[in-house]
Amino acid sequence: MSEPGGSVRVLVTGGSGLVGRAIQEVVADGAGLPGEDWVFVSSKDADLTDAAQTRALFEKVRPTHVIHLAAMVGGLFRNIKYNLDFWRKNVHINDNVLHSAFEVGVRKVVSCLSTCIFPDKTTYPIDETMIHNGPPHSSNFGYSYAKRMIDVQNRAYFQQHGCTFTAVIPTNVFGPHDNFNIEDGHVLPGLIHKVHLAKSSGSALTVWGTGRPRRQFIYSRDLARLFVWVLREYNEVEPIILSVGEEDEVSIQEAAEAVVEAMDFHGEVTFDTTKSDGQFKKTASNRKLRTYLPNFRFTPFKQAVKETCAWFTQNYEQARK
Amino acid sequence: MAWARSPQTQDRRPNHVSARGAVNMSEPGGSVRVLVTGGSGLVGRAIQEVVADGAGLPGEDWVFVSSKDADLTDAAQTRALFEKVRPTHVIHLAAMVGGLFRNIKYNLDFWRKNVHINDNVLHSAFEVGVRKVVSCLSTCIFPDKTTYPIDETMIHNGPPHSSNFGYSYAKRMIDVQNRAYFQQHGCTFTAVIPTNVFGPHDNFNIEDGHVLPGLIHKVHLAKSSGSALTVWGTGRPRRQFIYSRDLARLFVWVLREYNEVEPIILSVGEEDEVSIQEAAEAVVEAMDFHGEVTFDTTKSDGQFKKTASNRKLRTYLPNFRFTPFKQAVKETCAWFTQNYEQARK
Repeated sequence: MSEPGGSVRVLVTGGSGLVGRAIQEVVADGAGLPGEDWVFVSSKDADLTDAAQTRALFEKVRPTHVIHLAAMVGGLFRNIKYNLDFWRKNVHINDNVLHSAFEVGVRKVVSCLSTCIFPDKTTYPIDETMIHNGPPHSSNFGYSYAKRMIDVQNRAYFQQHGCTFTAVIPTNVFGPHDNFNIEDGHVLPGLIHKVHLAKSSGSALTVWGTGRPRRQFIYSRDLARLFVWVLREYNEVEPIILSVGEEDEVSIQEAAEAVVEAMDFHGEVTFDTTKSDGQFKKTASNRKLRTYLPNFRFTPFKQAVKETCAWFTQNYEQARK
Repeated sequence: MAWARSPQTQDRRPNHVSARGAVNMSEPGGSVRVLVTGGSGLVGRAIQEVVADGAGLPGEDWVFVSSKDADLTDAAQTRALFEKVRPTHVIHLAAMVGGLFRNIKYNLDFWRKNVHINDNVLHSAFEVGVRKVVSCLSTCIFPDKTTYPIDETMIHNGPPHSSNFGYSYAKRMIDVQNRAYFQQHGCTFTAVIPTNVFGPHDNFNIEDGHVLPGLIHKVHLAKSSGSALTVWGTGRPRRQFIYSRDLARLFVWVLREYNEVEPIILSVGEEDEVSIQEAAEAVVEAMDFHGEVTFDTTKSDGQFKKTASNRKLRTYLPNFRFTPFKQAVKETCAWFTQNYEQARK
């Protein structure tokens, strides 16, 4: 990606999060190229909801490329109560990052959307053209609209200034360094933490909801390898879904069973059906990805779950929870 | 719709409905101060006039501000304005607006500036405890692919027309943010959705303005120079036009009596939709123009139709009477001719 006389400096916002840490690891493991400088920042380095701090960060780092992962995120139960905060904070972060990138002449920005932002009433599988075809699920409309507006703003930068600002759309990501908080976190890390606690205390595992909703899970390391590929070779402004195929969709119950098996849990498993299920399905098509990368191999689900559970057990003290 | 009250019936109980049916928004020991952003614009000036002409109630203080008073794209300036004025209610009209041709080229600016303005105004209002905010959307923000007539439930049902997606999404997000303030904090922040507004004090700039003021200015110039009137586009697209004074009267009603968070369309009925050609003819007639009228079909038409249902409005106000279109056009043309020097153009 470097140009004559220039080098490549990639700024990764949200660098200490689930996906950011995975990108750090795959870059360190050899995905980085000579001449590339990768800079990972987190909220310690700048408060991205603050325009001046964000601008100062961009002027200090002077990136040529940006992977923008920073966001205010939360699981279903937190999103439901704080739609205003999820809307405002994320709009501020995204506007500050995109506009600072524009002002310092960044050549490419790859932001991160999510399949949970798609229209609630839709046909399946969903694809990249459908993002704005109707309102998102009401439970997290603040977060969903803020993410959708990244795509709107990307298209506006392209229309008015010709910038290559684009985005990826992962399905449910999981892996080491996740937020394993049971109240605020996402379903798979929540299950891992719950099984850990259930084992320690000899109690049952209670899964929230019916266990019937279905999800495509993508291992953070696989997502990280794909992010690096997108940064280098994907030049459309329209986003790209990064996901395992439809055939690899699993139910929450099956995901729970994979965790139970990986952590060798032998206690009772119950389902608290008074808790909300969230969206029943969000089946996404990875056809566009497969058109570009027909031979990309995802880590098998059970293996990825096993690695994540092992990481959590080994790093329990310092894990975010 | 009765809202004139005699001083003897003044009453400061919460939400007291006066003897003649108007809701008094004041609370015990408090007064009402309405801050109107975008106060010097087309709609803001119309509200100023209807309030001065008697729509205001005793105990109400109406404060009209414009970009001279604060740059609303700046959070600090906006907050300072709200702390200085200390409004109890807000009518939020301020926006970066433009006609079709300008919107097409500057989608980023229309998106960003308007998002900043709206966020600054709504959040400052929230922080100083404003009881109600009425913002202003537009029928041009509705989904491009849609059934007709459009209604208030359809705003987010698909992407807007691509020509002005930046502006459209920024306006749509007012509704999202209103619902978020209600969900998280119980605030009554709502919005109205006018169709094409026109009237005195509009932006009559031919490049940047909207279709009706643009036509009025063009006819004025055509008369002065003895040339033809060239209408951009085919003249076939159809629009519902609402006179600014009618919209202003309705805005005051919404501020006082409409308490849903879901927006409300403010428009003449579907039966009063006219084509751009018919609108041009109304201007030609009002200004007594006798030259040639041609259509430049190389220019973009924009959306073909945006027919909106005013059923919700009619459910609340079955007897509201709109100024007849030709009369409103005549009044607007007369204003423009008399105020040509200082008119925005």
